[in-house]
Amino acid sequence: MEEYKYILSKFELLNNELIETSLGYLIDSNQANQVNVGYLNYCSWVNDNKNDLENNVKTIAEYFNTIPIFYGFTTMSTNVDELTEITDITPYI
Amino acid sequence: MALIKGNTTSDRRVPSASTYSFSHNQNSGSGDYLFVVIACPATTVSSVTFNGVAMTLVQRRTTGYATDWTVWRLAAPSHGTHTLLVTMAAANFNGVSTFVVSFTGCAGVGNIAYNGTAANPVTTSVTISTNSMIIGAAIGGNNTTAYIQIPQGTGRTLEWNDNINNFTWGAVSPSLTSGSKTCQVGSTATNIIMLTEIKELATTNTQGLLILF
Repeated sequence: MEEYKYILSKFELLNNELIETSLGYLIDSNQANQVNVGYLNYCSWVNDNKNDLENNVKTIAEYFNTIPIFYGFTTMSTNVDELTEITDITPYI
Repeated sequence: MALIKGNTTSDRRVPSASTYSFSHNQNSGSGDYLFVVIACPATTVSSVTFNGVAMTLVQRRTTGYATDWTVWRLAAPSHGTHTLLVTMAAANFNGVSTFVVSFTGCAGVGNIAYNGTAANPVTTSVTISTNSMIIGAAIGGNNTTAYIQIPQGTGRTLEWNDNINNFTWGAVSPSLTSGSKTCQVGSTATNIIMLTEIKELATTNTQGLLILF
């Protein structure tokens, strides 16, 4: 099986929608996991507030009030021809 | 012509909306096909498009894991990198798993199979044609020591393995011989299994035609 590349994305809220922008790709899974802490923290917050979010008591905008931008990966692909490799993850952790 | 598996993309996200999208690169060749497997907790998938073209539902399973489990196909998809857009019936704040795989030399979908009686391990069988591949998928209570055998006794490297409240994983077999194929999934919890046959495009025998002429 061809190896997956981890697509590093920026997450932010625009017009009350979660917007994901692909920045490049990572090969190293350890680097990907370091960057992904930001996204996993968001997922944990959503999980903790799932009922309120589903019932429109809360919106995801509350999360972005304190953390306006975070990074992570949702997608892995064997072909990332249109992206460039990111080797320095310092700006994203 | 030979059935060839092309690019794959694995996506796991918490959509936080009723739609989500990401990119996939479709290989070019004759007999192009695109297949998508989605495990979607809490709501259902209404539609899937690739480069704006609607995909066709192959199978939908309403599982005991409160997860809508679907397979979608598209013949002659646009080549290159395009957007795969998934639309659900409602906003989803759970983890959703999407696996995308391209093929060339493909005649589309063949037989399908499903065993929704949770067990560990769990098996089901599908009868396939010569040189078909099988997309095998599992949903289970956990993914500790998760595995898939296509066919039974032949373990495959997992091509996706995602947390979706429960867990889902799977793989694509290489081309197989014809006949009934029993496949198996397991973990340290109970599981269910779904299979989709991917058929090879028949070769036109021009030499035979010449001999007849």
